Amino acid sequence: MALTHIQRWLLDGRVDPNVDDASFTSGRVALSWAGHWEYRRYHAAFGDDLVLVPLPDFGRGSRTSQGSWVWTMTKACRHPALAARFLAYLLETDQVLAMTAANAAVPATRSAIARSPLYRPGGPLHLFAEQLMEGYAVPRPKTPAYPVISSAFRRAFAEIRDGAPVQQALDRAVAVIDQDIRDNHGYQPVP
Amino acid sequence: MRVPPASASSTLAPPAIAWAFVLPAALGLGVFLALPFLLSFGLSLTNLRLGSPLPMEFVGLEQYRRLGADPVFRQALLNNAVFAAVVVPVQTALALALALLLNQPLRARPLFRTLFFIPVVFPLSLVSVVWVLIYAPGPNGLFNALLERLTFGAWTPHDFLHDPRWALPAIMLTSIWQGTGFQMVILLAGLQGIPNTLYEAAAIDGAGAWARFWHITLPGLRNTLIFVALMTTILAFRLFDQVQIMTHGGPRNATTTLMFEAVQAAFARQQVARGAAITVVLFLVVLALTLLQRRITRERREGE
Repeated sequence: MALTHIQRWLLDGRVDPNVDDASFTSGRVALSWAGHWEYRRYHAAFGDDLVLVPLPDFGRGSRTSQGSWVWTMTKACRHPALAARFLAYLLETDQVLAMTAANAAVPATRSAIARSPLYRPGGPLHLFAEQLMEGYAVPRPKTPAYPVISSAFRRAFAEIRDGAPVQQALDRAVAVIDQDIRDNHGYQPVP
Repeated sequence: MRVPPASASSTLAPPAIAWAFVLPAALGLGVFLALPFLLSFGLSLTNLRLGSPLPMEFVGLEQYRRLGADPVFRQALLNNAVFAAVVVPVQTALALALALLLNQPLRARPLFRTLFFIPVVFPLSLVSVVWVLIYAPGPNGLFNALLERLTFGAWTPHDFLHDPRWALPAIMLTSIWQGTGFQMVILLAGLQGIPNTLYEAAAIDGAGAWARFWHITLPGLRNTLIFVALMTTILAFRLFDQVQIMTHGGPRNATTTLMFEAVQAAFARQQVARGAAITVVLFLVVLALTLLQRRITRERREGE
């Protein structure tokens, strides 16, 4: 199981604790398991020596998580037509490129990927786009329970990082999440 | 015939005037303390969640039943108790020692007083960030390097904040370093309130330094010490900043606290009702400690 592997790396001292947030940029480690948001900083330190490599395969294929907080429109929206126009504007290729140039995220439309110097085919970060388009990325659950899921998983991961039995930590997270879903009557759509 | 003293007329004032004088303070206490507490007690009996479209329901003591059954919550309560049991005596004793030192007629007294008080001026969050760096794992971490130097290399470096045995003591040390200066200043004020004539009389009677400390300083500081100990205990049960920044409750819940659990529930998981229930428990703990302190002080006053 992937978390058992990761736990062993951490407990064996194979992973730099990175308290100064400079383990990679100062050259203490050769591999950094991080996201696209680190690209600018890493590129500034290493230039074209920086290479993006695929995630490890623990036996069930290579997987990464995908999904972020997004803009949306509620049923109670007072100006749905205007809100829809604004959202449509944000999804224009130029706007997606402007946004992702600012936050270094993967552009969420194919047309923007094709025009992005970092993410287009042959670009240094194209692997991120490939992960998303070819199904290596698993979407995070689209549910109002997400804050609870995220908090429970974060806690479980921290416990595993500090040597807790993997199954027990994950079971406890599941119990917390299930309890919350029961408390909210399964997060049914409210009429 | 005796004329009643002038002040008696004020005790005869209609109660309305007395209430008018009490009103501003009572209003402030009511709006900012009593009302929020009653609200959070009320909320703790419901299932309120942030941002949920479902109607709020009354669930009785369900939140408290869940807290009682939750090993993480019990661990938080225990951590708070252990933290208080160590930090209160150590920090008070240390503050008393520093206050006694600074009460001597030293030439650079204001300088020392300022130096010892400086940690109190720093925000706790800043102190925590700095101590994370001090506790950095490996031989290059400041604290590890210091211990290695002091033990002539016999010390093997620890990852203090990720080791279940070391994380809580590490936070205790940070807290003591940060908090001692405040108690020291209060105790110093208490020391300066003890009349010098007592010491002079004792010295003439042939009392040594130890006897003077034991029979004049300590009794003279009694109420100050009780206040300091109570304040430190309450702050110990309110422990949050260091945990949030240095360990996030870990490793394996070794440093989680009531406040940390309350914030996690209410703001990370949006379970406001559970957070409210935890703060009610925290209030009850602090209330019990305050009552205990009042009882001890009253007994001692009667014993005087």
